[in-house]
Amino acid sequence: MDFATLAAQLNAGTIVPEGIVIVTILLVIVGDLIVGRSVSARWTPYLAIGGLLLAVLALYQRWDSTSPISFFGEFNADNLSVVFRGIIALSAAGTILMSIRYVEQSGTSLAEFLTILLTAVLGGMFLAGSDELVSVYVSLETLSISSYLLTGYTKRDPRSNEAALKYLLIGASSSAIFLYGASLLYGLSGGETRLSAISAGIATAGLDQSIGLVIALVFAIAGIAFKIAAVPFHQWTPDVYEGSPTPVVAFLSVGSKAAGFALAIRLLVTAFPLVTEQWQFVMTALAILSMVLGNVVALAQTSMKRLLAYSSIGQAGFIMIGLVIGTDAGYASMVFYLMIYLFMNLGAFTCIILFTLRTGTDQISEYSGLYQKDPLLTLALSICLLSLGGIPPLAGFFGKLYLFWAGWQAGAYPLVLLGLVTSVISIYYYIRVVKMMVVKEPQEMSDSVKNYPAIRWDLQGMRPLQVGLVMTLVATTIAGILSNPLFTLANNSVTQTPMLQAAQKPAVQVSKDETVRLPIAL
Amino acid sequence: MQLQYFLLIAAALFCIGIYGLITSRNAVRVLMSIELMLNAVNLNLMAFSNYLDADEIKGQVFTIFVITIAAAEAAVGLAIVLAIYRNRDTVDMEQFNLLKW
Amino acid sequence: MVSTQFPWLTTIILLPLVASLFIPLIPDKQGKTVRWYSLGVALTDLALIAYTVWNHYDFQNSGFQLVERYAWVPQLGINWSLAIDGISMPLVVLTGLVTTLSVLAAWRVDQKPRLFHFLMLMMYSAQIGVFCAQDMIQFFLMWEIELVPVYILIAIWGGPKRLYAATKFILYTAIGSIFILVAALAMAFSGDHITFDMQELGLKEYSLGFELCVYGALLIAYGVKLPIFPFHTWLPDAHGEASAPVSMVLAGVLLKMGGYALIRMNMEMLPHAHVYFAPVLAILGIVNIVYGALASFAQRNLKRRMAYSSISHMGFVLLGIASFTDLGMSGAVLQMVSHGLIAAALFFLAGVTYDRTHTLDLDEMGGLAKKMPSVFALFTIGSMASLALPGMSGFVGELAVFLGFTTSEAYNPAFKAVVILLSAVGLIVTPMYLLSMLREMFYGQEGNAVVGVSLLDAKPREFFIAACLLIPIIGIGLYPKLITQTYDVKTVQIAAHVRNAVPVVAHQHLENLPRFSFATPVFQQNELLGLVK
Repeated sequence: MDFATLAAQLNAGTIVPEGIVIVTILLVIVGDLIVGRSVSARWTPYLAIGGLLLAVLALYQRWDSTSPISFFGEFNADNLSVVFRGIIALSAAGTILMSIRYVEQSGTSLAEFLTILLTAVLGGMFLAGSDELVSVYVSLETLSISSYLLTGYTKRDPRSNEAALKYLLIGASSSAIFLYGASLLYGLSGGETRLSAISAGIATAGLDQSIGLVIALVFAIAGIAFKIAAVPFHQWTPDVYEGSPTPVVAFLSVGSKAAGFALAIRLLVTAFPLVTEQWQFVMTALAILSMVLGNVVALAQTSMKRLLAYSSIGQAGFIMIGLVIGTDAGYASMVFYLMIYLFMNLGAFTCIILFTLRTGTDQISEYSGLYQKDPLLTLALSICLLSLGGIPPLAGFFGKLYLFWAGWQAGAYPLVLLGLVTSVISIYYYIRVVKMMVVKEPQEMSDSVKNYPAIRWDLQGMRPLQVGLVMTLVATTIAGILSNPLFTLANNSVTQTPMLQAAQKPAVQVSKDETVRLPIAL
Repeated sequence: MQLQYFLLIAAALFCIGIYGLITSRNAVRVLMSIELMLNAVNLNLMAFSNYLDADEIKGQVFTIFVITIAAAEAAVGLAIVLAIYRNRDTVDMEQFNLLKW
Repeated sequence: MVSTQFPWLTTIILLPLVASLFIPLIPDKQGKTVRWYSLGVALTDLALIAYTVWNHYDFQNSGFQLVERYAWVPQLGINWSLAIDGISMPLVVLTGLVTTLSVLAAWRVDQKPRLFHFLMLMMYSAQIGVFCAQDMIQFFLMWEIELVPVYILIAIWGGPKRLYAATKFILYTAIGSIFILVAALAMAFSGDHITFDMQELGLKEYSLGFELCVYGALLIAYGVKLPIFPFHTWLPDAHGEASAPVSMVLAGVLLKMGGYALIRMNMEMLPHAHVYFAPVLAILGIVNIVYGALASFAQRNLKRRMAYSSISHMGFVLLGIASFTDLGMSGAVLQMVSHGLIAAALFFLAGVTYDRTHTLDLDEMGGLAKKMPSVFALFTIGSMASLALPGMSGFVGELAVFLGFTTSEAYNPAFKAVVILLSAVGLIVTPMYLLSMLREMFYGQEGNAVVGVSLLDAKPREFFIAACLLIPIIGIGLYPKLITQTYDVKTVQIAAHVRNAVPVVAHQHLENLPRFSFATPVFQQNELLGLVK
């Protein structure tokens, strides 16, 4: 059997985007080995970004593919996965733009950083399309282990070490718990690992109301909630965000979280249709807790990174509104919000990195009076934060509007009202930062701002940062007003995904002979 | 032998793992507890695979993957513990308080 | 319906916004070019408004005019939908005038002038957008856009307690605006089709309980802005602390957004609930009038005194809205326009005084009349207009509201008598505090802030701004038809619209009526026939 028929049988064309990422990883690491660290730092980041953009292009070509199922059901490249993989790849591209200068200044090797980051992206992209327990676990761990390494990347910084250790211990235990739930699913379904076959298997075995299924559900949710940092599985977030290198935090808060949401949708909708009410109830509770706790605790933060950590917990709560209502509009609003969130959160982190690079601190009080010294940074950070707070006409407003619109349509009035109240709370702490930067008089300027260095964009690695800053700024400003293409994309990704459309049916039809088994015939 | 016994042992092992995770002060012991949890999962998978899925033994394949990844995780974990030991001269969890816990 | 090929309203709204984006690019070191640029944009926009209203707006048409509609986010049913009618047209013109004058009034802003003018122009757009929007979400969007600029404008260029005032402002308004969004979603999703278009929402059939809930929610949202009594506490702080140009816009335009929205949504879209809430509005109106007047008396700070007087004057708008009569409605709109001009003039003059004396404390002032005779004259005219001296616009507006309320057949005589009597108290107190304010500022012994300081009289620029505001005030006062005829067809229509709802509601709850006859409108069947016609 030659390679071509094997590839055709596996339907390997679906993972060409991931293949591009893998090739990019190899090129980066081999190139770095050949030309040496100082030379490679000049071109590897651009190669990595080019690879990621190429992967996005390949994803675009795979939109609406007629045969999304590949590798005998291991991987499902439906439109939903395409969108999520695109978000993850773009978040990594944005992260690389902001990390070049940062990694240079921290005195570590850039190519290794890129390699690990791209591996994390690879894990995330596979996770977004995984349709089987083994591939879910493997891709989840690829993402997680790379994230631990990234978190501890500045290995001479004890804070980074500590963040990495905490992240690793909590992450590993949560994935062990998730895995225990997965093993229960395997057993309950009578030996099925494909997500779509699991629910059928469980129904066949007549275990659809068993306590084992509920335990499996709770354990699975624990694993997912850890990835998306939902309260009460959020404790790692502020510590890891504070201790990690800032570009890593940007990736964790956008890319890793998007992968988590992709997993959440796929796993809960496909594997747990029998206990839909239960999982929606649990996720509702998590959403409420996340919105309230994330936004309220953020009020008290003094460090910018911790502020964004809690704000990202709150944002996850908002996104979960779309998940729990379980309608087309709900899922589409999640996707839409994640796309918007990609721009605004990356923008905010780019600004923080820029400020840290110039002053070496991320205390909120140190931002006071920044407007006098650096209007562009002030503008960009203000726009991104206000967008996160949902102030119109910025992109974040439209994202939240869609979430609340979908929530109201589905009749989840209390959730929407709570979302509205907590987003007003969030406006308060976002605007506090804006106030610090814009309102303070010259004499109230903080020491860091007083000693603000001259703005030089011609240093190595600053130009990409500037490009990233301007691009996210523009996207955050106009993506809301001209949101039509994004809306269409989000809606299509949901309406053209068979898995979600099947879940819309009132009762899941399971007949005993329908459990299709693909023969393993190589 | 019945399936339940395997599941009970696995559950017990898993609980021991969680207990160790919560109570250990030494970072290496925490890592070991996590290994224990993963092994509980492996037992589960093997048992199910034997009793329910004897044709395709997907559970056994899964176990191989879990073992591999557990090794990778342990390697990364120990590397981080090593890095932290170099910086701080301790692996006591209660000493790690630079970040508000 | 006059339909134009050219999207006039969109141009009017977007011009300042787009122009504001170029402010950071203007080469300017001292902030001299920026203010000319900003003034030029504001004047252009004002000219555009005047041109559009004059050439493309039919004053005798009660419907929506200059309608523009583009699909914006069709997936959610949101349109970019603009139109003006008799209610919004005067307010759009008022916005153009007051904001342009406030840009001119901000000539002396030398601290961060770029940011200041950027925010002013942004606010300009948002305000006109609020008055023109015909889509609930678009309205909400415009409503919120103006929030952040106002916050920063107060927080940077305000008085000593500016941060507190700005934060209070944004919290009140942001929490209030939640209710708009909730009401919009609730109305859009009720019935068989989803729409955010205001006219279509007005045509939908709602159950009475639903209407009452939505009405209540909107009342809170707009009550914060207008402001209505329990939600007013942000206003004295915000108006007191903001700098003069910002106060001009705050008092002149922003308060009107609340009144406008009450008419546009609560009355036009929810007429049945309005029947129930009208007595409440009347009572709140009285509370506003009396409380505002009495509280104003107690203020020692010039701007806070004027801020409370604004609260008092907005009470008349509420009374007019609650009156169910053509005259009352007309009075409410007239009162909004007239208060917009008067409050802008007074806050501007307060700013002029502050520029010279550097205090707002009435105890510190005194004897200013000798040093600044023309400021004194202008201030006196403004105060006279504010206390409703006949021949000024304030008088006409308040008189129309009174007459409208008295002739209203929706209330029983006892209720009307109490309302009129109590608001008369407010009317008596108003001259007292305004005249005593004038006395303390301009007459008597020279105060601490005045002694030994050489004070310049009003400059031509300041004189010009005050004149631009005061001349319309007197013009309207002498010949009210000048303005009322431009919108009367619309107010008559709205009044008839809500009156039509009365028999429906009365019919539904006929048996309950006698018990609540104190507050609930009572209509005899034969009276109704006459009225509805």
